[in-house]
Amino acid sequence: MARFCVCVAPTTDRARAQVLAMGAIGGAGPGAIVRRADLALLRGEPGPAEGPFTACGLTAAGEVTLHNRPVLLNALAAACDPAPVRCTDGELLLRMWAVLGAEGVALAEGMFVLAVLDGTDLVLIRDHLGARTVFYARAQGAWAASTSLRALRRWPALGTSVNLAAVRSFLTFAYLPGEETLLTGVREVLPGRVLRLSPDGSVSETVHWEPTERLDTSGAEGRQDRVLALRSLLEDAVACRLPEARPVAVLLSGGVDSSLVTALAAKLHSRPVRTYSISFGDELPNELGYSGMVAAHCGTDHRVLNVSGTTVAARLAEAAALLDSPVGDPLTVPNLLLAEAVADEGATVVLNGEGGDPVFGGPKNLPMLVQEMQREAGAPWDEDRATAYLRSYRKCWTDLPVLLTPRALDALRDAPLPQRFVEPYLLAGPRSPYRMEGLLNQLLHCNVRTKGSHHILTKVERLTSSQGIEGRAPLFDRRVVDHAFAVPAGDKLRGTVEKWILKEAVRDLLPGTVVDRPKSGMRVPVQQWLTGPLRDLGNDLLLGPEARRRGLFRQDTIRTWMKGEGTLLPRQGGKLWLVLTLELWLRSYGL
Amino acid sequence: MTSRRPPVTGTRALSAPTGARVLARAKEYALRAAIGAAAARAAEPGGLRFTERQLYFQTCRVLDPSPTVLSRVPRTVRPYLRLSSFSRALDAMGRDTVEGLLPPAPAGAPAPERESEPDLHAYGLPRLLVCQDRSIARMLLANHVHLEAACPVLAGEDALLLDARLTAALERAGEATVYVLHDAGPLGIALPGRVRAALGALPGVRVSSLGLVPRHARAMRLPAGRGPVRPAELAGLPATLRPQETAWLARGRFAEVAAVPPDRLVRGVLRLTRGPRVPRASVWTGLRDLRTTGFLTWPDPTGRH
Repeated sequence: MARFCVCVAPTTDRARAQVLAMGAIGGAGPGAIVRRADLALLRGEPGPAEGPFTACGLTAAGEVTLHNRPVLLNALAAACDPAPVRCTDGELLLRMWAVLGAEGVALAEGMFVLAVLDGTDLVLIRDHLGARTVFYARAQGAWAASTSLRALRRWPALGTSVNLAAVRSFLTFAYLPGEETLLTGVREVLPGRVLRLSPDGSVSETVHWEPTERLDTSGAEGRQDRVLALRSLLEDAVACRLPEARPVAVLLSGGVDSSLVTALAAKLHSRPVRTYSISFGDELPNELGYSGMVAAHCGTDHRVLNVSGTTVAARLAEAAALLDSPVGDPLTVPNLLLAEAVADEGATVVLNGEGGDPVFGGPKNLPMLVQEMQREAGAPWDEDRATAYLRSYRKCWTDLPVLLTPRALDALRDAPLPQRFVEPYLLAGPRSPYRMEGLLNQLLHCNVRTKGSHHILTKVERLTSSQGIEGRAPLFDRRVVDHAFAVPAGDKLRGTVEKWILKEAVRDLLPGTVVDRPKSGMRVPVQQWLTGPLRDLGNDLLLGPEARRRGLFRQDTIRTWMKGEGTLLPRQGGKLWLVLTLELWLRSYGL
Repeated sequence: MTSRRPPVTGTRALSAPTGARVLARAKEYALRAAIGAAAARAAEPGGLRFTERQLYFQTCRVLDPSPTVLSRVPRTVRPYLRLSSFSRALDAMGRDTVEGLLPPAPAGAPAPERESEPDLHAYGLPRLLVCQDRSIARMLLANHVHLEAACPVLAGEDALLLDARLTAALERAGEATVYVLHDAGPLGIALPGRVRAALGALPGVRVSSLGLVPRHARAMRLPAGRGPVRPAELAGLPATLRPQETAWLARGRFAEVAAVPPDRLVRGVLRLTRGPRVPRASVWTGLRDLRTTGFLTWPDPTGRH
């Protein structure tokens, strides 16, 4: 269990000192010495890091899980530079990079980040969808990178503090949607990118993969072929993520996405499939009936995990501290508890149905379509697409003027606006590489690149890693995503049926009531928690001296929300949850 | 812009103000204060935007002298302020100085549509809201009801000749509802029927009233006006109205949606348009007729939603 860190500095000694300061134990071993650089594992931190290792004259460390090794081995063989069949996933990816460059990385299917010392440059590689994360920073003429944000926080040269622009982004999105982190000077490598950091401080970026709209033009006649092609891709995506000769777990919410993953896992795996669901109490609306039905239908070993508000209160700080960037999602503690349960019962791989909504057109697209229908230049409600998108998030964006203190608002006056994270996808010009013709595809592209990469996958990876297991998301398979952007948008949102093609592709595997039921979602009793078991914690944290001293939030607004007042719709609980999550995260990082 | 009178000079300035002038000035200050308080109240919570007419009714509520104990007795009330006095005071204050006040709705059809993506109307539209009053439609849009409820908001006159793309999108949904938000007056109560007739026979699309009938106006103690009575309009009233409601309308009385407090209006519209579709008509045809005149949908007695 480890993460890694790397430093490139003017001298080898300085690089080594920086890596040690970040918490590295040991350093580059024999045969892996690189001048003016050091690369090492951070033991004791939860993660699957391996390295340093050397191949093709390059030294690297990484967190690499590949799902299509045979394809990559064949590609290297075809390039007349075969790799040892038994080499690790990290070494195989390094060889792909060394031999085939960014195109080689694009061929890899999996979850990975890789740091490569290439001459005097540091090269950082991140997977297509962002299943794993790597951060980097520059200070005193040196570059440092790590898969642990906490390690970079320990880097004395950096002298970091709270990044207020990121605070605003977090309150707007409930996660950090792009390269920024809550630490000033520290950035995240974006998914699908290869970043080359040079000693002179320059940064060059190569895109190895980006969703593109290569539409199948066969029209209605080709619809059945598209459905069958998707089914085949889904089977491949699940099959290649199943652990060989070991049991597999699936998080089963009862929705169509996790149900189809369960059904395919049960069909394709030779070992037992265990499924896990969450309950917040019988008195609340839940989907346990559906998940139980799917579990029975697929013959899985099913377990329901009861999560009480008291447990959430007890574990919230721990869950917040496990995340490198906070996620204001009330499911973090339940997800952590599920990961614990899976690990306790001996599974090492847990599949999930994440990705169905952002990739195939789940709910929340219709409001943006309507918004666009109602655009009227100069009207009191008219606002650009990116701004409306932020509003559609329904988090704290519209509350910022009353939530943040005048001092914080003043400091943010010239800071870049959060719209910048979604504008590339929603307002792309005709020549932009991000341009998609269809509005629905623009929205989905935006969802995949923001919420998918920076919320869903990040959260899953950090929480499952903390328990020594791997969370895998077949619906975020790069080939599945490519196919989703190749089918006409009307095959995704057909009439008002969301994810139509996904449902059609698995209709034979699941009970009709599961495939065709409307999305209801599980109700997380945030408001009850905040007025019950989390009340004292919330009061102490948000109105206590430490929060007051930090001076980010207006105490009167927090008090008003705690009384259940101050907003048109009863969303105070969700808003307070964001503030509480952020406060816990800042405390865990000593900020 | 606040309009200011030129300073008074000469012998008139030296003469002492009469009691009537002092009283008039005091009334003017009181009215301005009331409008200011009404604007603050209309914008709560969360900085809502409101129309001039809504501000007028809110000012009436601020000036309402009824004791609290009577505030729950169902009845309509007379506006406590002349509209002309309100308009004069608002002019004197300057409309731009009132935060949250929307500019008047432009006359005529809305601005021509700009170009957008080709697939914008290619999907299904499960709901559409038609407002009798263009200003109310613009107020709901200004408060982003359309985004929140995923529901286009149109003015009645635009809905009577509905864009073919919207009609197709409603039909494509398979089961869509056109909600009609209307006043408690003969024209308003007849509007759902007119919208239904204008839409024609669209499979799976039904028209449902979200509007007011006299009993709602009474329950919410709305300020009600009086106007000329047109027998032809009264002839078209649904038979399901109670006799006393028909009589109330026959006396020329009416109550406007604009008289509903803005927060209550937005919450109500959101609750009703975002919620699950009301089950289809049963054999109880009388109940169906009542529902299409707003029965059981309005108002929410708690006023919270």
